[in-house]
Amino acid sequence: MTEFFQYILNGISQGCIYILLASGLTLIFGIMNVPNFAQGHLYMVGAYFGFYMVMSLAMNYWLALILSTIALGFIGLLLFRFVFYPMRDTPEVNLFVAAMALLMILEGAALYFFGTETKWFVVPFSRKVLTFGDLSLPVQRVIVILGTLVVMTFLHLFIKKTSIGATLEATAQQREGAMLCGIKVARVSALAFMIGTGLAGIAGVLIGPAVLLEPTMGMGPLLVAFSAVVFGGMGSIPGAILGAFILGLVESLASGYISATYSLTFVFGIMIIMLLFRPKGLLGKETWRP
Amino acid sequence: MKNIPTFFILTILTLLTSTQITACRDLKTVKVGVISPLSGSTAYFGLSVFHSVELAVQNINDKGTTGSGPGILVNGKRYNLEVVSYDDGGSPAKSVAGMRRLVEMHRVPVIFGPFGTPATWACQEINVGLGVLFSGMSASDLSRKKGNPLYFQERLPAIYWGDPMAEACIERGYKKACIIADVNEAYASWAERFKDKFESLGGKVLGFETIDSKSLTDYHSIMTSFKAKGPDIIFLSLYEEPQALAASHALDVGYKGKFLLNSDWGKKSEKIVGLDRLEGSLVEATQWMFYQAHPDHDKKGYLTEYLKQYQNTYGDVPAQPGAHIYGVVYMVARAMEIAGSITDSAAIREASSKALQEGKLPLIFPNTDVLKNGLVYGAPDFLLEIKNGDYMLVQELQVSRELLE
Repeated sequence: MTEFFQYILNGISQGCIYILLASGLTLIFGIMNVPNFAQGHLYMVGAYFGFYMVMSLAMNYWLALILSTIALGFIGLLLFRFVFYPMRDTPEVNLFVAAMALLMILEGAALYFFGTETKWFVVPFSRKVLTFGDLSLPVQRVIVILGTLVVMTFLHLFIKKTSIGATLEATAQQREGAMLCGIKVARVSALAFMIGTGLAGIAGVLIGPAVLLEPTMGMGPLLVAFSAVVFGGMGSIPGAILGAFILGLVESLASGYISATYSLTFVFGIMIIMLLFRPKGLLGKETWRP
Repeated sequence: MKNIPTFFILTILTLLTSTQITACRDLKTVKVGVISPLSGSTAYFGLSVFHSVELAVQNINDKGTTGSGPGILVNGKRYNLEVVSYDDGGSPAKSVAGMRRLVEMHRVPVIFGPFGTPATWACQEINVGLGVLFSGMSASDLSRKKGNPLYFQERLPAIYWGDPMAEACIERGYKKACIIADVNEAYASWAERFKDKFESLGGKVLGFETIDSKSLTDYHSIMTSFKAKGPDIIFLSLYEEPQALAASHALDVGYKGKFLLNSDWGKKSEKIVGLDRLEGSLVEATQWMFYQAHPDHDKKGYLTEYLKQYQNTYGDVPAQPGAHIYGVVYMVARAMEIAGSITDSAAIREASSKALQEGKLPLIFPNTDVLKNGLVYGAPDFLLEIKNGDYMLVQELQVSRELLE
């Protein structure tokens, strides 16, 4: 039974990274209808920013976390302003291709600035492990879980309790209706992009000290996060959270009880089964059509 | 009159210098090729290979192969070596294109690289037709079994170290093991060999997982399942960084046993995990790792000198494949001198054994012979134990020549 609970702990911590990525993805998709394939690579950029600040500038980890989040939010704003906003009235496939192109550009930029050699960053609590009886959890993973909880609580409060958040929700529900009500949809979309990419930045810095950094590190988490969005229901933040949480657990349990080689087979297999029986996803309100 | 000695000295210096320049200009050039990934995810290794060939060529051009330079002396004529490189980006298809290009455009008789087993196998399909000798950077046993007559394999197939590693584990009372291996043929077969030997000696393998370490970033669940099985030791048959990550994640989930680390283990992985957390674990190491940890064992100082020169020239630390190829360049250059040919690939290949048997080359890995199947043989590996944050020599490991021939 200890083994089972250890898998659950592992799955929760991994699921938290997927939650942050999937929430950003679904937020951007809900507002702009853009499947931001660059989200995984923005997560990679966030991790590299954290690495640079902590290891090269000897900055405090928490400060690096805040600054990386702001930097990623700013990058999101630039992406929106100079890439996605000008393309807003073009066919959706253009947005799709632009997101794919950004993914490659970000990977190239990381290769150029940080090289091909794997990087890692050490923080004071990198090697500390908490034990609860026979269960163990590294402090960094505890930070990932707590950090995700805090961020998602703030995001929830922001959307539900502030007027700006209400405009986000309104735009996501009915874009034209929001425009008719006087909501400046372009600004709301820019904000959604900033929050979405900022979440990727947070995920990158949170997980950074627990993994190895390389320019392609975002691809795996992106695939699972995207599946979580589809699994939970496109455009639904609670759906994305639930989907990411479930897929994180499935991945962990499959790795432990069956084989790590096939863990993603189970993740994607479950997603396909879900789509066959419930095409709108767990909490989706309508079927998503590309 | 005061100026006469100065004038005299200056005249002599000028004459000496101009003679040297003329001598260098008079040397004809032999082009040698390098195929390695200078871009892409394995560029770190590729750059080390390229730079190490450059460094060896520069040293040979300055001092000769055995200190009787400059350049190489073939049939009474001196030649300088010139490096022509091709970036294959780690793609076997590009390695093949590169081999064709280097042979057809630059007429190189020998190519150092490519890096990696898939690229080596791809090049083995065409090198004999092109008449070019090459040194593939592969640790797979199948590479030498292809029987290619114009091929060198500098690194012994990793698989054979599985036997002495299993014996060492049993000797130390580690009877229960778990194994995680990369899908790469060399690492997977290494792990399989270890498993077979370990079980034949009475050990029990409780868990065996094959993974693609290039895409797997979370080892927590695998290590949880291993920990639950209660092994004495976990063999990590992986590349350097994944080894470090897997070991870290095993410690994260509370694993308290030992690890068996392979020869890819190094300075970087040490920093990631922390040696103090690996007390009692075993490392199968080449001279590369052992001499860096204990430079006093590097009696001839070749590795120390190579590292120093590399860092001074390129401002970076090389990866292990660079040190391997460095020696091959010396061996080939000396073989050209012995064979009396700079173009006959088969004769150069044939003479390479003698080049090593002379024992005059500054080889980082003290190899002694080239076997008929192209394996460069002789340098031992070492089994080390991590004690008090340091590596202690347990025993020297050697694979029998009969097994490899």
